[in-house]
Amino acid sequence: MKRLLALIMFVVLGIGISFSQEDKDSSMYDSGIDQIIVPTQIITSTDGDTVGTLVNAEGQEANIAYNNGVALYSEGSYVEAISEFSKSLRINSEMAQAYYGRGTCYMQQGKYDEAITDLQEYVKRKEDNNATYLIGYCYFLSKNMDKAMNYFQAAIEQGCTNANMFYYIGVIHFNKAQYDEAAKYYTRAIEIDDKHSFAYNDRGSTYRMQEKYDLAIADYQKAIELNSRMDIFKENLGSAYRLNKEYDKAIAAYDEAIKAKSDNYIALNNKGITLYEMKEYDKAIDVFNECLKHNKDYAFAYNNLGLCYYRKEEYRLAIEAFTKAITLKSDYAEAYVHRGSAREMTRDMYGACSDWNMAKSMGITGLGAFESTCEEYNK
Amino acid sequence: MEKFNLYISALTIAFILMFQTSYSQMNIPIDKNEFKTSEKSGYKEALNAIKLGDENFESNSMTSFGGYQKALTEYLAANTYNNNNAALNYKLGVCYIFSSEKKKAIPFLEKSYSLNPKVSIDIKYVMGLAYQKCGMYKEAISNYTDFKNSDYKNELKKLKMNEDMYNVEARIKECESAEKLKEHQARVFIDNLGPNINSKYSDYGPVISTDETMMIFTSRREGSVGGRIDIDGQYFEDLYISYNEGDNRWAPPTNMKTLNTDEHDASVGLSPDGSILYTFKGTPDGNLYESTLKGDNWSKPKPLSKNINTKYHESSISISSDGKILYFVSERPKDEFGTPTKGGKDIYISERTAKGEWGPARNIGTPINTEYDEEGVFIHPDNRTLYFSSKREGTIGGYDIFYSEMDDDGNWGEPVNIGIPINTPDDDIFFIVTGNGRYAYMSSNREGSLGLQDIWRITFLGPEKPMVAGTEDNLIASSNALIQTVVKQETVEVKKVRLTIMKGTITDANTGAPLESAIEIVDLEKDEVYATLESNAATGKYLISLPSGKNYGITARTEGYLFHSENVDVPAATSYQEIIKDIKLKPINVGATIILSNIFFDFNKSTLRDISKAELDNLVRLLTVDYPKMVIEIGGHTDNVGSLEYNTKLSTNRAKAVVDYLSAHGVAQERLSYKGYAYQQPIDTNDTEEGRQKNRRVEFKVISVK
Repeated sequence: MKRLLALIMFVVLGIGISFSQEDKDSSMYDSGIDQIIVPTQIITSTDGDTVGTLVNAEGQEANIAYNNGVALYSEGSYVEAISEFSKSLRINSEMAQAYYGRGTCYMQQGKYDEAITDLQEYVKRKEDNNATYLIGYCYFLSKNMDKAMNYFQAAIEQGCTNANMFYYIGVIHFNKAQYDEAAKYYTRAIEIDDKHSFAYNDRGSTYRMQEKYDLAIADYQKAIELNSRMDIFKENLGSAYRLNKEYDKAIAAYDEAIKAKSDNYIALNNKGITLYEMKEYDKAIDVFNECLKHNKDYAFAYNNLGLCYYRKEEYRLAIEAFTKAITLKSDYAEAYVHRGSAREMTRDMYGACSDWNMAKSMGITGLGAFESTCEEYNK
Repeated sequence: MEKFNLYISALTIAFILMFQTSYSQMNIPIDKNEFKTSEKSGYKEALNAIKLGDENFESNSMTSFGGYQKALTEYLAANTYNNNNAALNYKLGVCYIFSSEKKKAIPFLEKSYSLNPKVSIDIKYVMGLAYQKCGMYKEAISNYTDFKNSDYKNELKKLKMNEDMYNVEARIKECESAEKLKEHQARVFIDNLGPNINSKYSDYGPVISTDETMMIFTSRREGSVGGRIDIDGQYFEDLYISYNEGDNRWAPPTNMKTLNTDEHDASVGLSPDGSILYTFKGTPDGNLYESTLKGDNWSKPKPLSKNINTKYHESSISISSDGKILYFVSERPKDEFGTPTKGGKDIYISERTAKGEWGPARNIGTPINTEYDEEGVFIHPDNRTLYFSSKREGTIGGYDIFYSEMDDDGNWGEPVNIGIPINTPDDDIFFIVTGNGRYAYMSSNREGSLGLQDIWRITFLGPEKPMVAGTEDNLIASSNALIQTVVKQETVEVKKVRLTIMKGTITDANTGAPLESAIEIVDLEKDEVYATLESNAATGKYLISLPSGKNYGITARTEGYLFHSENVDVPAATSYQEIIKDIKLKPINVGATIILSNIFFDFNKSTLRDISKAELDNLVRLLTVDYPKMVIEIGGHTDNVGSLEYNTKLSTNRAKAVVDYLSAHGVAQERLSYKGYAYQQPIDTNDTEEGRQKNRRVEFKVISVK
């Protein structure tokens, strides 16, 4: 009876957790795993073969194994669930639902190749646009964006209206810096699910990259309204304000992000940058030092600390900070540029030229004609 | 009146007048009762110091700050007995404002105000002034605003004092300009030239040769010719010369005794090659003089013509690198074309006439001149950048240095304030820039001065390299990948100096003795003389400034020698470069040869190009005027590309083309012969393009002189 109740609950909640839910566990965002649309149909003795099941004795055994698999899945016992789904498939290799169930288990285990194989077996036997989407999603998670996009497009042609799928298409476009396209798909996700906080956040980021800061701010605010526990939404709002030169609001937003997650070194770093841009160098230095308490290996914060000292004309301290940044991140070309400039101000032209040449060799452009000056000092 | 004092700005004069007036009329007595000490001697010393200090404080005239310096010493002595006297603190603050330790003024003035806010009507104004002079412009504005909102006008009226001497609105504007300029400070090092050049006396007005090897400046140090001391307590101005020993090490200067007199002798300009010095003499009305370097000797300074000097005051001067345009400052009411002055001192130009004289002066007009004073003009050897000082709108106090660039149509652009920290709230004048544009020299009594005015060297660091804060965000909510925001990096624009400096020595090819030689620079495209100058007789040294955008033919000639020609093609985009070229002139003897560097033919043809005309005319002149009986051979030479037969024909035809030109221009045919040598007499390798280019040439050989 208890197991049956669990199965019923599984059916009810099996649509998946929405990104829009206020009480969403942020660990999901941390793991990067989307909620899977789980096989939902409990097979009873009265069921027909609409899902490819058999009703004879052997079939009953397969159904029992399948139902066990579903129950084990709901408990998070994926290994055991796979075993049950496999058992049902050994009895009835045409049992589409079992492929689906096992595929989703593999997915939860991060075994995307196996998941894709099973899901493909499933869609061979049953047209299901959600399963097509899930195959695309597996490819997405295994970072094969071209194949992911193909399956997402196929799912759309099959009539899939899953908001998450449109969201992921938006992410693919975003990562390719195709911001107009990204915004279009995030908007579609929002049209389908107007409480999709992730879509709002990401569309905000898209606008931010397009320097449409007012639109970005509005989207980040909406994302926060829908899901106030997400510190990154607040952090992004802070950055949008900073880029829009609304520094006081930026500081307030970063503070909110830090309040939500006190060791949020990213928000601390960005708050420090805001203070740096406000020319509040002493305050910025304090914030960067706080940031480094939470991540002592954060090269960006050392670089930014160096910039503050540079502006305060404390060039020795600046050089020290830039050197630390370079030690932590040896390919940090900008830090080489900065250290070169700080060395220039201490009249260490040899050191300055050496750093600028290094930065140039790393692909930094726009340094001006420093070579002729360096040549003069080398004479 | 000496040059430096003539430059003291109206602002400074107003300050001095103000303090003198406030001292005498506002009556800020130091309460001697406050200086009573337990020891009688101490009391006496304090009173004596105050008395002496007051005398010196009061003695300051429009032309001197010396009184403040002396007063400062006395007041500091008095201050050791009582440092809580508001009036004494006020006066110490004022003395420091006029010293090279301006920052010390602030605590004294703040203390004075805290002890007695009514110590003087103008205490807030003076505090504003102190902050302004120290570059603390926000604080200055605050104090000036307090003064502006006070009842000072009525208070002054009661004392029958003119409120105009407190131009608080102008001061506030200056501070506002400074705040804006501070946002984009000039990236420079400003270095005192040190005790080798600077003294505890005033040292100022540096002029330098384009290649920064020689500097002449004015000093009021001990040891001046005549040893006279002026009313301001300083020695009369003398000219000093120093040479650069490398790495910005200037040798101890030498008094230019042959030029200096027991009057004021001040430097105001130098030709780019360092062979003509312009000086200023204050008597009777301020005029400009010229002295030429011949060998080791500078000629006696001669006043410039009446087109330049008038009964009005003329001061600074600068000459273009081609020697054709003179830029100078005059207070004349209108120019020789009837154009009235824009106001006060203006910059004028005079062009050299065909006779080599300076033509009528013309007001350079807007946007350079304004209703305010312009001073300290300097034209960079690139002939496109004009530096000058001005009191126009947008200064941060007194004279500020501005620059204007000429566009390709010859129009001067809107002047730009050169910025902080080069400009200060004091007068900033006499700004000169080296040929390569990397360095400048100026005089100033800024913090760090060895005494009064000092000479400083400015190193331009160029635009700041992009400073990029390291930032990243979780832009994508479903991913924990941090995304580093791409920051657009603006390209650092570097102002290119479009100038080529060619320098070296001219010597006898046989003996190596230095030669004084005339140097003619021709714009080959226009076939017109760009500039003429001479090498130094004693050293043979020469220096030519060649702005980019022309193909120059350079000819050195002196009597008894074959001329020497060089071709220097400087395309418009060429940035600063230095070419060292020592020239050896060959005595005219049978068998002597020279390469005619500025004769050009069409590709693979024997057709003379038009730009060869100047060189060909040099030859015509040599053969018709200088040596009308000389017999010569013109030899044609090629590189080794192509067959001998082809090159022999080409080189023969080219030599013949030159002979034909000479013949057509009056040289008897029988004095001329020609021969094509093809590639059989190379002077360089034929394995490189550079070598082949040298091998393709036309030579001139003396067959007989008679």
